Amino acid sequence: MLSRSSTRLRRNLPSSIDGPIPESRRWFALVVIFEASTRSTRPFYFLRLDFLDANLGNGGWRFDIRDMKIKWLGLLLLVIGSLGVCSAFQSDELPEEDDEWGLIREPRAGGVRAASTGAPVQPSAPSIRNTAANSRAPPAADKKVQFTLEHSFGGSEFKPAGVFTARVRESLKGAQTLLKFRLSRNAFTDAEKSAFQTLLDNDDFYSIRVPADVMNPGDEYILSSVKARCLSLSNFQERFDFHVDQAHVIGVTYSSTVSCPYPRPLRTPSQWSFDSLIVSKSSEQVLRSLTHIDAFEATGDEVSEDGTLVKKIPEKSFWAKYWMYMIPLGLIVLNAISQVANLPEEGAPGQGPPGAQQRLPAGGGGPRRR
Amino acid sequence: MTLLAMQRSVIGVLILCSVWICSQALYEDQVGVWDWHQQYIGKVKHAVFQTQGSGRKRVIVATDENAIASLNLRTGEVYWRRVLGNSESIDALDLVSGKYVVSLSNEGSSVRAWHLPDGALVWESLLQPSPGPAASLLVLPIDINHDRSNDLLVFSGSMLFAVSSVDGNIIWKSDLQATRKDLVIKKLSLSSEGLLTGVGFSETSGLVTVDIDTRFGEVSKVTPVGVSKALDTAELILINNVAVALDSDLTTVVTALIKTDQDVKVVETPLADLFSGHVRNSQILQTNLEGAFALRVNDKVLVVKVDSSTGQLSVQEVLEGSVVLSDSLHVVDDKHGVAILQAAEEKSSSGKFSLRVVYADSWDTFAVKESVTLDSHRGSVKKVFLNAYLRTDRSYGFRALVVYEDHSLSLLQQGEIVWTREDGLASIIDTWTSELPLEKDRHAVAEVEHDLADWLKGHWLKLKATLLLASPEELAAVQALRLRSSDKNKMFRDHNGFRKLIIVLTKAGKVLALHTGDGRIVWSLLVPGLRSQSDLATTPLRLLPWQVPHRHALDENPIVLVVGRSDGGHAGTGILSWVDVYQGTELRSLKLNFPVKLVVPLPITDASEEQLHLFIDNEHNAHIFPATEESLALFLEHKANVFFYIVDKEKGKIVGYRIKHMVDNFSRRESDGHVFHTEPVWSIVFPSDSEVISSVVSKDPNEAVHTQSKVLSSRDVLYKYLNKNTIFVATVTPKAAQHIGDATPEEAGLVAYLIDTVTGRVLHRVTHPSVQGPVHAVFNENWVVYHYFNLKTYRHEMSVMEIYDQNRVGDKGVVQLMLGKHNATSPVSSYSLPSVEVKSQSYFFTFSVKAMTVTSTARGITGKHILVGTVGDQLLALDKRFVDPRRTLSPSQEEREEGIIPLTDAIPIFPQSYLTHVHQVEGLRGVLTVPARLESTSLVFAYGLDLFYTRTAPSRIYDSLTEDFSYSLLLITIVALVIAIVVTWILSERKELSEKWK
Repeated sequence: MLSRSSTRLRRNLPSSIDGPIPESRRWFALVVIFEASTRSTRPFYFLRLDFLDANLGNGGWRFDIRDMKIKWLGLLLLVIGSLGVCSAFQSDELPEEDDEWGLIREPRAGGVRAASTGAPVQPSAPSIRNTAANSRAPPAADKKVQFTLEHSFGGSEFKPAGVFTARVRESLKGAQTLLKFRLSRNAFTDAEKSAFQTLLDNDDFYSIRVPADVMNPGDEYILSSVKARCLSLSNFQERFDFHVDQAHVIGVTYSSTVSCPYPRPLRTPSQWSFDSLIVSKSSEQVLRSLTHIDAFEATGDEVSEDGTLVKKIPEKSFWAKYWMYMIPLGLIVLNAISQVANLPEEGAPGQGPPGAQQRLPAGGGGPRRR
Repeated sequence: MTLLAMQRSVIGVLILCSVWICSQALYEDQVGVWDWHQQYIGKVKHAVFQTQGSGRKRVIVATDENAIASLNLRTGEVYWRRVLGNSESIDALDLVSGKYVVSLSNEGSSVRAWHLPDGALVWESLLQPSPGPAASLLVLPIDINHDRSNDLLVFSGSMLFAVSSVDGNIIWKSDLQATRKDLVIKKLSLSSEGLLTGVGFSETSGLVTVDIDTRFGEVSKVTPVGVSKALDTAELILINNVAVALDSDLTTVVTALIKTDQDVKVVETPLADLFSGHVRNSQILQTNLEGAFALRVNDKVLVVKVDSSTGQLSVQEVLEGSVVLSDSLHVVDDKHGVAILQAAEEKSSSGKFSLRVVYADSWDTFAVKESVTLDSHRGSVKKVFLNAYLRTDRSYGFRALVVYEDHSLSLLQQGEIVWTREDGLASIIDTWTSELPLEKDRHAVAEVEHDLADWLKGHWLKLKATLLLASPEELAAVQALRLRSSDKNKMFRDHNGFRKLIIVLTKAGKVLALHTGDGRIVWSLLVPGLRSQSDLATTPLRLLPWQVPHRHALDENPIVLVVGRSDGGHAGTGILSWVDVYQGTELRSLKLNFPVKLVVPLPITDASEEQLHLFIDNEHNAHIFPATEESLALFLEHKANVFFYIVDKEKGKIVGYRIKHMVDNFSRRESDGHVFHTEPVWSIVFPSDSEVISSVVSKDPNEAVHTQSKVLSSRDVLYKYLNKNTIFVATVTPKAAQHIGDATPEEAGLVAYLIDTVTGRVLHRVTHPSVQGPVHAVFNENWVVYHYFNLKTYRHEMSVMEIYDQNRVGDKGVVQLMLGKHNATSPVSSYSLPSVEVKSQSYFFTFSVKAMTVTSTARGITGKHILVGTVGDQLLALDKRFVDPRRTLSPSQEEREEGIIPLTDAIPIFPQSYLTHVHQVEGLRGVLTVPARLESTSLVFAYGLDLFYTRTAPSRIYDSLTEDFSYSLLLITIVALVIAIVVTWILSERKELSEKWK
């Protein structure tokens, strides 16, 4: 499971990052600060880095501003250089640490351990700051995004329960990928503990939700629920399965890490601190194991005109080819041999087997009778 | 070399075919033995008669299902039929010069001419109309381009086209809005001097007349007509150069006399002058009468005559109740006939109607007056088309084509129904199958004796046929005997479960029961609860099994529930109607107080075997039916485990709900059921800029699965993931959701999901780049097969996903299987972590697909065939083994034994595997598969414009002898053998005795 998700991620890294940028192209870097107007009252800013192909000449920039209602604020920095920048990008774009795996676990096999400290983490409005500002990080690659995890007890109102942090990796084409989810979870307050106890008694649902668009949270939420008893059975070992498509969260499955049999036994939790495991899955591309050319090369079979594959018939052995002639021939030979062998017996009837002796008078009785 | 290779490939294909096909092919003499095919055309909206000349008498009709058909006027049989595309609604139909049928379709954008005798397309012309009022077609009595053939005028929106009737070329076109933008021309008329006049509305001056030059299509004059009142622009009628419209208050009739070279004279007549009493609502009817028009005022129809010289109006007749008028028909000289069909008695169910044909000029002389008894179960009459013919005594007789409320079609002549077509069956919206009644009393002895001679004779003929002794006449007799085998048409259950009732619900709100034996209609019912009232149109939605008796199968009848929606008045509230399946009667109906968004049949039945149903309204409240105390108690027991999900395609959202507590403040009325609150427990939101839901497919809740595991050739076991709460969802990029060609390969993509509907868990997610919809999918057992279009290779593809349960990998051995933690009796919780492995593969497929389903058998032992409704409206049976993800290029010997076919990149299609053989199911929309009681056989019912029924045995019929197996031959052989043994024994005894005496 672990290795699978990681390979999946690696496969989905945009290939343009890995490959060297052709020398012949001149690149400009463009850093712009935008004010993104969200539904929340507080505006936030984010820094965006993009490249313009100087050879294209017309200066149309490449980032996608369709869905983001961006109000242009100011141009901070423009035109850093040309060829020199290019080589710098090459080295920086390489995928760096091991924690880019979708699945993050602490050595204790805990997953991303929530700091279940008494002080609740203040849920802040989602903010994205550019790590490119740091001198060590790659200038264009990763940003961080924060979004709130909210929970509800059996249909009650949703309240903040923690903050997710994820990395946003941006490819040259402007596609964004969410990576490396981390959660800092608030501990249960006393009121929440009693609410949870009620859920346990009623075998009710404990629900969580996160915004569907983490970059730009709106009204749409991704909701997921688990039976409270399952959670207490696992001793608050929770598991989030994020299904991510670029910068969107499509679905979150919230579950306990242990199997939860039916009927669910009631077990009062011994401790109230969460142990979170976060799995992030981005989409897998389908593999097609056969195309015309593959098939042709693999077996030497021929593809007929209508596209169906015709098996090449291997050369048959001598026996396989001519058995239909061999068997009758063999039979004739056998027959001939037996006739030859029988001829002397006919000559001396007295020496024949007793059955033949008895049969002979009946069958060939004609000449004997008068 | 290549020749040799070709030879080999041909031999290879031949061998392959011979191996595969023998299981599916049908012999020539088996056609029609257990399959049937019926042709329909749909609800008729235009009809033209062709009765002149020496040719066959026929009527050409255009229907709501976009079909143009030529019907035999004597029998109602279809001579030919052409079906246009789904979106090509037919606007007008006419005959040109006695040999072409001209149709105008697709909002006036395509004109086609069809050859009258055989329906061949003669020419086709595409116009670029502007959007506007309904398009119309006018056959001109003049020849514009001097090709010795009268030409056509097509009027759609504001564009006017003159089209040559010989080759469809556009002679001229003219934009009537070119001079004034606010002009909306409604009607055109051609005066006897050859001047074309258009009459319409304009915003500034009310009525406007436009003169158009017929030679070149130029607008020569625009004349605004001053009208003191604002006009209602919905309807305008033009009668002999008199335009008639209503004012915007619908209280005054405005007539305008349009005469060339003169001023237009406007006459306003208040409705109160024509109609005594308070006018509540009024409307001009779309009926073309000669010198008159029809006006509906408060449920009454007024026929008002217009004096073309003064513009004065006079009421000719006031018709009450349900009455239908035909367009007036030119009979002879200046006589024009109009048919008036009126129910004889108000609110009567006897079906007595009076048909009158009056001459429109005098209006009081009846050409024909006869009383007709129409089938009362077909509802009221919606449309009448009139045709005249010359009687033997040289007087004129009339025949009328009648369209009923249930969309069926009848021809009336001489006060009788000549023929009737059940054309409502062309628009089936839901289907279900029911078992026939049990055989209560066995056949009487007399009946058997009566049949005995026939039976013996039949067997004797069959025997001769088997022994190749029969003459051609006898062979024909055997074939006829086979085809009308009375066995398959009996009205009770058979041992093999082949005889069933197919219950269908049509768009007209009619429920029909078809017998699987020969497709005859056992009963039909225009559901009274769903019948549209005058102000309340209703739409039938679904057909659901309500009560299927097993315990009391002998004395209780199955019941189906018909769910409908009322469109007017109460904002789409639901209507329920319960129909007895054996009697064909409505037991009761119920008007719900809430709109029905979703119906969920629950797998719970109460003591009377009524199935519990969950109705979800717009506020996501759940209503339980039947609304009894018992069902409530049953439901409360299972409430915690009831979940449902709602797919919102517009928002790209799937939300799962659970049932909470009961709603307290509802009055306990029956029309509410037991109401429960619901609450969302999970949601999945697809990003709207990159994914649009294309198809959602769930499993058949009643499917039978024979085994949970799949034993491989290596004696390894794969466990199928058989969770019934799994759905398949396919999303495509928004651009790729449209037609092929709208998106480039880079823009297109498909994402396939497997989602658990209890927890909202995404079990699997896979993307197909450069692929676009529409997506058709079928989900069965543990596999999904889906079909889409690949833009890179430019071919259709089919992909398969097989889902295996990894949690159970440890369960090896029989003991583990029976007693381990995953045994069949232990409950499975969706809240445990599933671990699934999905194997997938893609194959090229030749056709685009209209419908897709899978065969189903009683116990699921038999192999599966995927039934594909192809673009050619045929039904193709595709062996599931061809879409197996485990196919490899060179399977080992063991794998071959397991039935794995070597991998190819395309799925082969054998002509013999078409279930529909020679037939086409025109406009194929859906396929229903039902298991027979015989495990090997699955019953297949395909419906579209046509109906087709057959039965198929995916793994051949291994559990019974074929029907034409000659039992008599077997018996005779045995008897002959026994006699031979006895005779030879006696002979040998004698011989032995004589030998001993020697």
